[in-house]
Amino acid sequence: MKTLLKVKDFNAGYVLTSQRIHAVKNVTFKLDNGEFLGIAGESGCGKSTLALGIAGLLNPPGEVFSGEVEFDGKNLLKMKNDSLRKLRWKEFSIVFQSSMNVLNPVIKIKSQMFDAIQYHTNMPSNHLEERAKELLELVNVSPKYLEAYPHQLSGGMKQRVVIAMALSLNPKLIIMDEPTTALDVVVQRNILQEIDKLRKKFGFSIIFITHDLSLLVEISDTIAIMYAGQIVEKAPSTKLYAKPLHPYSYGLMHSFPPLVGKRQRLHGIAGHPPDLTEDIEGCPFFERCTKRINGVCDKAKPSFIEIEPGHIVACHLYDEEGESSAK
Amino acid sequence: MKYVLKRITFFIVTAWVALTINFILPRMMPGNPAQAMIAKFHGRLNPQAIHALKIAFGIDVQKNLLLQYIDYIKRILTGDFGISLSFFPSPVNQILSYAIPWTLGLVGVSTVIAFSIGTLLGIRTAWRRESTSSGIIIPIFLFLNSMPYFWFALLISYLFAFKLKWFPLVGAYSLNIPKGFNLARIASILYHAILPACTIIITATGGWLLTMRNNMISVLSDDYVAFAQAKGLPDKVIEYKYAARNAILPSFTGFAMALGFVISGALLTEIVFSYPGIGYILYQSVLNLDYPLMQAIFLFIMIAVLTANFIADLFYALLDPRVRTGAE
Repeated sequence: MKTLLKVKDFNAGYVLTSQRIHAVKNVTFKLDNGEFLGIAGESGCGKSTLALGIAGLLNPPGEVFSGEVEFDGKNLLKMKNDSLRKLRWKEFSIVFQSSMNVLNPVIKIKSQMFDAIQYHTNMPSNHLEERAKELLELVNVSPKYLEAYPHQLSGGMKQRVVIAMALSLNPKLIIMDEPTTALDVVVQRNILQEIDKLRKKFGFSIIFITHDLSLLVEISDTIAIMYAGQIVEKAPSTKLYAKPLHPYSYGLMHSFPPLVGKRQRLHGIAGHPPDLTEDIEGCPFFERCTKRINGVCDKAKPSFIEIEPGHIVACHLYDEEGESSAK
Repeated sequence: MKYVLKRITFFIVTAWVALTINFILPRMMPGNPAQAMIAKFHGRLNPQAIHALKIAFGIDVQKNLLLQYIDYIKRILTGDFGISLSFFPSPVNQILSYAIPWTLGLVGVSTVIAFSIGTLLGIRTAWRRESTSSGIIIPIFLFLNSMPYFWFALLISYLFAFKLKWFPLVGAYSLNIPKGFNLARIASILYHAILPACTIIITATGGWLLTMRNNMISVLSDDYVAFAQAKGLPDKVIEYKYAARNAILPSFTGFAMALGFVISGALLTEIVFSYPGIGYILYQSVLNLDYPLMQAIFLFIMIAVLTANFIADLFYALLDPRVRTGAE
């Protein structure tokens, strides 16, 4: 598999007059062609900032502090506005967290589907209509809605339309930032399965961001768990599901109920995420961790250890295993 | 279609209510136009003449209120507003039909220009919020906007008309030029309109600018603008098709209201420049207790505002599809 996206030491956050919020810290990962990467973490852990930062859409007060984003051999962060604009949608598209409100309320769906295609390609207008119909059919929305305005569509339909729009130029990567959060679980599942089907059909890669780990386990190839702006564990989803190594991943995995089996008590994770305006010495999860080692975890930052091929974790619990495998 | 019918019904009912109030108000005030007229002649009128005046002004105390009301509606529908006191014996509609074109031309055109410039600047200054030009433009227009416009009118008429003599001091056209449709007259009219128009445009633009800029800034943080950016659309398309297209909706209502009030004239500007528009006439009628003229002017203002609102509602439906279906 060829690597499509390389993110290295990515730091981003928000600069306010009185403080600086370091929302994403030293994030490094790779994404292959056709890979489905899920990024999970609780609200405020920097998932969305990461997604917007990679796409170069972090508007003030948001800012990328440092790092590299290499997409298909091109460094996105160093690109000029105009060349980045040409890349957008054509090479990578993004589906927003609040997809309900991303459609312009006073313009027909048709016109909003057409403008991106028209700007990036020179498709003649009689083909535009056909293409738009084809796209809507892909996501199971009747083509008659091309003539409709956004408020005439239900939430699920708007979401599908946005996904259809994201597909319109056959991009290599689609970043999805909690695209199904506002929908009920049945529709969520439905849309996810469709996305996966489309991915298999067209072969694009997906970065899927959600706070709902249960959604990811089933559908993604790889899962990265984010906490306080950092990736704390990354593994193929089957491995992560079977054996979450980081105490935080373990906590997340056990905070939703299994569908089958005995009824059991659910365990949440006590406490709150740390304040991102301050620098954290040691492991960011220290305060809430049930397996913390006093004197180690609060002093030194854990580094990444590859436990198995493809399964990395940043936790002092596995320091020894890391050393032994290094030998 | 249902929407249009609803608007029409609303229009008719409001117009009727306003007409009725316009009928009741003068009758609740002490005195009546006939008395005012009689006072003007210092008792040198004989009883027959007084009676004739009362009938002429439609204030016949012998008739009961209902009959008067029916009479009043009848006269309005036929466009008969009686006889003016201050311009006696010209009928009111003759005075109005003379003054309305001047006001529409001067105030109407300047309002449209002020709205266009203000809105465009509002869009630009919101889009380029951080730029120095925005930082300069906004305080200047805010300052001009907060200046009393009659004072500003006095200032520029003193400076450019009285001191420098670049522009005429008063009036709407030069009396030396023959009447009728010829180039010299049109040029003269435009020449006379420059100063009063500038007063209105310069002082009013700031208001439109601020409204539009505020709308724009709130729309710019909306998700569909960010999404348009993610689509890699050119800045101009995002600025106008996505941001300004939505931000103009609230401004548009204000603009329609302003157009409705155009007919009332820019009272103080017209007085300062002795411009023969409705504002000037209204001022004269108030000075002379000219009830029939005042009543007719108020009636016209009211109908104009209602009509402007009605048209704005229809246009709004074209601009905002959500209004049409009544959703959200």
